[in-house]
Amino acid sequence: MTRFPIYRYSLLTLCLLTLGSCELDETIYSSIYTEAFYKTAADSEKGLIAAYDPLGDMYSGPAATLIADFSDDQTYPRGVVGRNTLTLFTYDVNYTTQKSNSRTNESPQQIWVSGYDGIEKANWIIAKVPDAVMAETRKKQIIGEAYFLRAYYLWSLTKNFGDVPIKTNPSYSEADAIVGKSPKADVYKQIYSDLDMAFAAGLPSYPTVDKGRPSKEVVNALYAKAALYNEEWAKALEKAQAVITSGKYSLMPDVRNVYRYDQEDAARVENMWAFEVDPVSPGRSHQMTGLCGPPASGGPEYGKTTFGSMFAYMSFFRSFNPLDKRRQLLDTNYLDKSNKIVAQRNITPITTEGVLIKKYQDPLSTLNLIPNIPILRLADMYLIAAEAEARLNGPTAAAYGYINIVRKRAGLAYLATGLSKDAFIEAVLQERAWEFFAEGDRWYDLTRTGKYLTVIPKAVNSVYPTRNVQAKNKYFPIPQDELNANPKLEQNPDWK
Amino acid sequence: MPYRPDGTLFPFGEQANGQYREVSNPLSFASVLNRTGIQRTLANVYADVNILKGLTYRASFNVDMQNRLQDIYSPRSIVNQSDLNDNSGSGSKINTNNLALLHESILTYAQAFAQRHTLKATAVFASQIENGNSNSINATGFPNDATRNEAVQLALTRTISSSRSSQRLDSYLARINYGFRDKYFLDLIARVDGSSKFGANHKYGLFPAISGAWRIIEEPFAKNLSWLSDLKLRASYGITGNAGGLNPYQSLATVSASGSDYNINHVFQTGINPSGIANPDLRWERSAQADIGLDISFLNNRVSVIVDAYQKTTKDLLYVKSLPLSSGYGTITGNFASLENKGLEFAVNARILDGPLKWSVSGNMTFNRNKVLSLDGGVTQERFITAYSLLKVGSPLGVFKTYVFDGINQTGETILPGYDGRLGGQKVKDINGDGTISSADQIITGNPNPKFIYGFSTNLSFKRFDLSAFVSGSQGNDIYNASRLSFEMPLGQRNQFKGLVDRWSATNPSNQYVSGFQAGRLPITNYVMEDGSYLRCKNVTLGYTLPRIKGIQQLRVYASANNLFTITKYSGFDPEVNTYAGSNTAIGIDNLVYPQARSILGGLQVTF
Repeated sequence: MTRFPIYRYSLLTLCLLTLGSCELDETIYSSIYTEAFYKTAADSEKGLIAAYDPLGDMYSGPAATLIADFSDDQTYPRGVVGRNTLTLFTYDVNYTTQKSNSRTNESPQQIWVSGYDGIEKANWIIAKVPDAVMAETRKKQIIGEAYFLRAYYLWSLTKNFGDVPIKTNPSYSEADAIVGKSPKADVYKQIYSDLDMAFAAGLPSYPTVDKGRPSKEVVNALYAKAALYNEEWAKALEKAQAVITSGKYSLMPDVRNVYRYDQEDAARVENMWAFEVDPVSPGRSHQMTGLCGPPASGGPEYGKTTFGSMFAYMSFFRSFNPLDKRRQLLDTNYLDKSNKIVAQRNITPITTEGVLIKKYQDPLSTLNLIPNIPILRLADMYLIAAEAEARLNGPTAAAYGYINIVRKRAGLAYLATGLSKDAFIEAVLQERAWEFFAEGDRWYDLTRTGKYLTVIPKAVNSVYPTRNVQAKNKYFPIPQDELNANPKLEQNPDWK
Repeated sequence: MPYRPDGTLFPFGEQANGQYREVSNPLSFASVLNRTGIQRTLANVYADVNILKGLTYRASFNVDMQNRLQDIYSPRSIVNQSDLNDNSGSGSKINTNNLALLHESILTYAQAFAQRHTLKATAVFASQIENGNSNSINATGFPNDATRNEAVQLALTRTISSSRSSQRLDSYLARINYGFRDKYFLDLIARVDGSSKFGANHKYGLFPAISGAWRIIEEPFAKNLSWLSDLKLRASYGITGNAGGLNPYQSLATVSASGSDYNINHVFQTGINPSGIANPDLRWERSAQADIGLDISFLNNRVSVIVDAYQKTTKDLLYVKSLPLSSGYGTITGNFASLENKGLEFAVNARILDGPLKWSVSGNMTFNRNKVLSLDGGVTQERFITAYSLLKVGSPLGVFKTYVFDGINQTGETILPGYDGRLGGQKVKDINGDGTISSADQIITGNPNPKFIYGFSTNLSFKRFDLSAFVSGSQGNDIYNASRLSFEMPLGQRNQFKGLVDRWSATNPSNQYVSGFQAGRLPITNYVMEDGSYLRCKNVTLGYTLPRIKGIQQLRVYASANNLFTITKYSGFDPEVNTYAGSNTAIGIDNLVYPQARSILGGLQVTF
């Protein structure tokens, strides 16, 4: 309570001042208005890193390889945390089991989420960076990398889900965020068009290219593989040949060194584009080392911390010619910590026929990992060229030439001559099986050729005595979470 | 044994050399540092000014400054020797400081005219500003535990972050109370609130309300009823606004470093990307509430009864909605749902004894029913908020949708595919009978909303003694006791409930507890759904006022017990529980929450 008039009026004035300043506009401090971003070289580089980030999310499980490899006829999981729903084809549209085990990062839903996360982030680069003020050469490359990433994400989506939404603009508003799906043919058109843009962007070649970014040849390599999956043989052949004849890449003389933890940078001459991990913290990582090594971190050669959660079928091991060096990337026993051999029957409690996978060994790292996961390898280009050539022109000398380069490197004799077209293609698919196991590849060879319906029911063992694959398993169901929120989208017909 | 022969603590899991680790040494947890220091300064000043007769002005200013420092350290010594790596030994320092300023200007005019009319007019302006600053350092790979987190520069890796935010709420209110002959009353309120958190064109909301009362007791016909001491009929209708727990900046299009990163050239790099889809339409949540009530008092106001009926429709419910995953974003905050609440409230107060022994009791009971009217602009009919609680059009808030528990998979039984079921594990019902377990087999199995809640209190005093008690309770609500999903899931990593002694095995075909070899989680079923009804004695106090001493107005000693006892069938620690305490949609969930404590206090109350 006051009685002093001057004080009284000054108080009133103060309150009126407060009244007058009713400014409710928000001031941001720790973020940047989208309109004020994508203006400089540094902005653009930072925005582009964000577009690579979903690749890391796809490969952390890594869903990108596991959803294919647990479904195929080469490798299988120990039946925990919902991994066996892939092997048994018992996943539902909600991926309930994997979700309730907090393993969305190993499920097809992760591909859906990260694929579109990446597309959105690439879309911002493609829409905004053209107006950035920076050196034109690098600007073109940044936009080119974004086009490449968008094509890669879209291809990851369509190979797993078939017809999917195509998003080529950023979501400025909620209305932009709701998009219906396009037929697979249109999806591939978009992929090709993005790859054409990426190819014209002046990306460097190997070995100049930064480790982790696509080279100009990698753009063609993805083009070749996408065209192979879309059964456009001439295109696949042309692009695979372009990579081979560029002379920028060559096969590692010893196939085992492609995967050796201490040969990672040397192997980039063949391993054209990979998911990059490093033994740094903070840093990107994946689970393959832990999944593939023996239980209870038993085999020091495999890694410091391993679980024994992923094995190869014994029938797949037996399918190799014993001379095949690639069989040495599998093993039927291991050395324990006291250098004693652990016999096959004791590798895992789930079966007496455990076969260990040796493509992701990391005996050194105590935090995060060394081994990258290959995405596109030169060997793939030879086998794509062989298959596409044969499908176009039959088993020509050129087709034989391509497959034999891969066989020779593996220590095998040249493929028997005089095969029929079908037998030759069958031989290429078999070669692919041996070459790319545990790299997330085989399942798509089976689905694109329709062979999954006959091959999978026979790929059984004591852990998975019956595998009831159905036609609808050609593609994974679109996640229910997407359908719940997107009124324009319908489930794949087989999954309704 | 928690100690090694040399007296140091056994680290986590060092006892184990088999395939599975043994229980973490609980003593180790005691060596983990997690301490928060808070310095808080509260200040307020106000001034009252009489401008004219009946016209007064009050200005008040409040300041709340808070500095927090959180210290966290998890030592190397609790890590198993063979698990020690470059990340072992981790610590954090998290600084936050918050400043809240509140100013209120209140102008009041009160006057009575001609003995019959009373008028009070009030105008209020209030403005509230909240600023927050925080910075944190997380460090891993300390070489030695000696410094704990007090020397983060010793650690191998450090990640740092900082953030600052600001928000403001302005309110303008005008109110007129009019009374005629102490019999008829009318209140009119108009308020305009403006919050910085809403979209550029939606900052302000207008919220009017009207209420009237009729004191029937003042009517001639009622005055003869001597047993009736008060009778009042009330009715009101009003619109209220809610800005909820909305975070600032949701309506703006911004980019930030929100955790995107990749390794290029063996170097870890962070990215910057859009934080989400902006919602420039973000606006006030509005509720229209109609209320009708009756106040009755009997026997010289010794007994009074209050009855209220209300109906409230909330539109533009502020809600975090899932976006299509194909948008590249997870959620958007906006006004996406509408909701109805209606109910009845009863309260009774009675002064039973009024002599040297005074005894009064009061009780209240509320029946509320709520229902989701629409969701996401009609795009969806139902949506999970947690793994088991659901928003569904036409259903109450946060109902539980789960599989139906159907015992344990016994030897020789066919285990249905689709939910990772196995021998000795939980079996769930195939509701639609299609031979496979899918999301279609999840049904609504519980409702966390009580049928009614109630409270009862009693005060007894005799001479210098006083005794009071307060009980409250809830009836007919379900609790999803998710803690049991942890405590009845044999993973070998944490202590388990004793019931697991009776776990399933081939020779002990239990139908309740799963076998010791489930190595995964229990499916989300109604197995852990429980009746959460309870009656709890919240407080009992016994006091004695000492005879007056010179210089001291009153001296009272008392003993008091809080949370003295609870009558409930609920098996968890505390039926009055919610893991998601801040949520109005995820309710009735018990997931490893610290229960309320029982406290017994003695005290001395001195008034000078």
